[in-house]
Amino acid sequence: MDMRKNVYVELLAFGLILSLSAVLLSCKNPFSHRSSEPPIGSSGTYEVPSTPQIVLTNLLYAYNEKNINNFRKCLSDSFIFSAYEDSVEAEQRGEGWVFYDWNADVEEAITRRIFQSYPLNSDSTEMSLIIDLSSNPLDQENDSTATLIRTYNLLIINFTEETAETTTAIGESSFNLSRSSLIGWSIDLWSDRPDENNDFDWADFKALYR
Amino acid sequence: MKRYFYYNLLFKFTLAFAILLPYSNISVKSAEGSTFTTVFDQDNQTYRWDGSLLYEYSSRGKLSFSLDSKLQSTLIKRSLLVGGNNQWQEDGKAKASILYSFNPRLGISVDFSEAYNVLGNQKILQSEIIGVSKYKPNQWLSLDYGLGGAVSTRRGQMGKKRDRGINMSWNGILNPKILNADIFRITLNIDEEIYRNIPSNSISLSGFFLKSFQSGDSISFNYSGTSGKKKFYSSSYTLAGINNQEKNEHNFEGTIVKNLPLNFEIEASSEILFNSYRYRANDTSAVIGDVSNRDNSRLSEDYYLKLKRNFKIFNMPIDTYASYRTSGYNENFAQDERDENSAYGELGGGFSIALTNHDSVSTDFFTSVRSFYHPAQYSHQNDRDVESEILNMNYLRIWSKYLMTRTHFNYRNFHQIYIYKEASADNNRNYTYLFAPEIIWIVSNWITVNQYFEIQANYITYDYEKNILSSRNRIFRRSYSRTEMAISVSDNLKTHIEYGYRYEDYGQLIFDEQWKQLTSWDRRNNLGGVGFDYYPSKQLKISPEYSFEYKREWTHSEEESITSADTTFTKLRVLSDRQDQRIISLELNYEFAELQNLTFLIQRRIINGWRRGHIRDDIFTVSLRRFF
Repeated sequence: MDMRKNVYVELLAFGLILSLSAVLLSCKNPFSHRSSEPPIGSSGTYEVPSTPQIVLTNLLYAYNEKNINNFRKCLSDSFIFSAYEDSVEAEQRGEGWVFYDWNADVEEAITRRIFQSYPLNSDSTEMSLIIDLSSNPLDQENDSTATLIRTYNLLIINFTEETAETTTAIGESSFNLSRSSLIGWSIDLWSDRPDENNDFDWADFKALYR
Repeated sequence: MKRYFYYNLLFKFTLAFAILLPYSNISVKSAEGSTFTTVFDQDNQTYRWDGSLLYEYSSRGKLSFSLDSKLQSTLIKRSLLVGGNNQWQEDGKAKASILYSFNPRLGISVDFSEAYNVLGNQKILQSEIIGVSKYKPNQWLSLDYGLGGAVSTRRGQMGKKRDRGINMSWNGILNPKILNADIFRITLNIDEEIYRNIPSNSISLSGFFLKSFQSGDSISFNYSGTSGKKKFYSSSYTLAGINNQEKNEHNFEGTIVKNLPLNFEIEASSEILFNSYRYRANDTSAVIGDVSNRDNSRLSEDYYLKLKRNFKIFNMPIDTYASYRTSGYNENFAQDERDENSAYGELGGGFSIALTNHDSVSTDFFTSVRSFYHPAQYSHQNDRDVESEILNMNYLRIWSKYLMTRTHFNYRNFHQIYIYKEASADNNRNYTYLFAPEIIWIVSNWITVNQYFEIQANYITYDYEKNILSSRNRIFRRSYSRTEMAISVSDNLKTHIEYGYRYEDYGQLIFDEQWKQLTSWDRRNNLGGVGFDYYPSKQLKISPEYSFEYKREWTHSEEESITSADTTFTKLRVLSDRQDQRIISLELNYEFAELQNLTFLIQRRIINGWRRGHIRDDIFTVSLRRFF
């Protein structure tokens, strides 16, 4: 029995190590990055997130500059996105799963797809975000946690041969942030809420890319 | 307002019920592990009620019963909403189950469930009843079949939609004792919701195998897969069309742990995920909302190899490890510009060593590169690599049973490299250094002092801007000191005092033969507090607390003075913001028994700041948790 067990495990371990070695040998050095071309044009804007307000400024720039790396730096690893009103509507449509388990990886993937669909200097699409960065009386800020509430306006334009179809997402987002020693301030919870007079909000737009 | 009073009354009633229940004659002796919790929470923007009840009853014989219910109601005041009115949110669900076992092999159950979500005028109500027959012909096979009915009502601003139908489910679990496995389980699940408008069905298959050996070796595999179809409405309008989703999800995981000669141990694991979603719509006119644009599939793979060895050098025990991870994914969307492929490689390692009985050191390091690729004709300018280096070091020294020091050092470097010229101007390195020593001193049986320091520097340098005077290169520096003292005045009175000071500055980083900082602002925080825990009796704790935070921020600039002889620069430092925050709170905690308590908390926060003005926040919370 013991012999059978050893052969059993060793064969499997050997097979796995062999496959991994083959993968390793067939790849180029995984720890060297590609070289880059010298830049043209504009570049991204990012400040060290030493205050909660700077995180939102970084988020705004990342969105308008379509810079997914800078966008990801605004989110903590335990990030959650929530849109209660839109979730209820999605449940009404029988499509509630769209808002389930919306964590940092999901948010990054969705935003990256949006950036890729609305690239900078495109002839066929345009997307522009405005966030009112001024302080809100309902903001709360402690030594290591903060809640900032901001209204936004996201303009989405799809150009066709004859016309330009414009959609505007309007609403209010509540950002719960926390400070960590190494990465500074980042967003733990982003709750989105539509404007009373405009049914289409940021969460609706993002949900289309999930 | 009527609704407010209704909930207020309901809350008071449930609270009183929960407090009185254990002392009344209606407590049920046969209840097993039943719990009741309720929380009322109020601040300047919201009122919130949470309640849950879990009740389980078993008659030792053939009948058992359970009730599980949750309710959360939130009133959001108009001040928090964009130009709106007060808004109610309610989520509630309740499930009651009755199970009757004819014998150990055969039983039946009936489940009733009710769930609702309410948001203003929008309401979703779902009711379901299902009867399940449970058959377990032997130890390695169990079969369930469920049949029931369901009604779903969706009411919104655009009208009301009602749907009803039949629910069916088949579940089979096969648990044979073969291959000498510790666990070998195959599960098959088929669900069918035959609604009139939006039916759905799914079939799931999963298998799990685990075998452990006395030597510590083990092998495990897990597979789960689901295929299904579902219809859903294209919008919230009453006359909305119907969309279809077809999904396929497959997940495979495997892990082998094997002890090798010379005290080595190897762990190899892998995870492969494949998801595919296809959508069909009967209305394809929308440019943004065309559901078929969401068609996608994604294959991701992750392989991990770890080699460990525990050994001794000069009688010092050392644990070491080295690891390698490679992973990646490929996406395929209906719209190609959304696609992204990625590859990742990570090399890591570390050790922990007990140098003496009083000294121990541990270190971990990781270096990795993640590459992202895109279809060349669409989004190739998003092609990028992220190179990372992480080092963590910890040193612990126990000087005596009264004195201990801990020292932590952390280094991180993220190098972001966009490959193409359209975005490569943003290529940068982000370095962080952190050094944090800590002293823990037990002065006596009743006084403990903790002193913590932290120094951090964060540099961001752009690859193509090293020698540009007006570059975006930046440095952020931070130091922090915190002193905490815990004093046990008596068995009934404990107190803690804390004081902290934080210094931060930020500015441009200029390269002139060496890096120099041009400070643009600095900030100083003084924070602290004092709190007491007073126990008038064993069950009751009274905890008043006061804390403060004073923040000051200065901006730096230069004033240029031109005279006929010379030009001089005067550095200016101007106070640009000040904010004082004070928090006073009182908490009362009454413990009926372990993990059963009634808590009251009231808190007032006052903020005075140049930018934020005067703000006052009040918070009130009451919560109750009881077992019966």
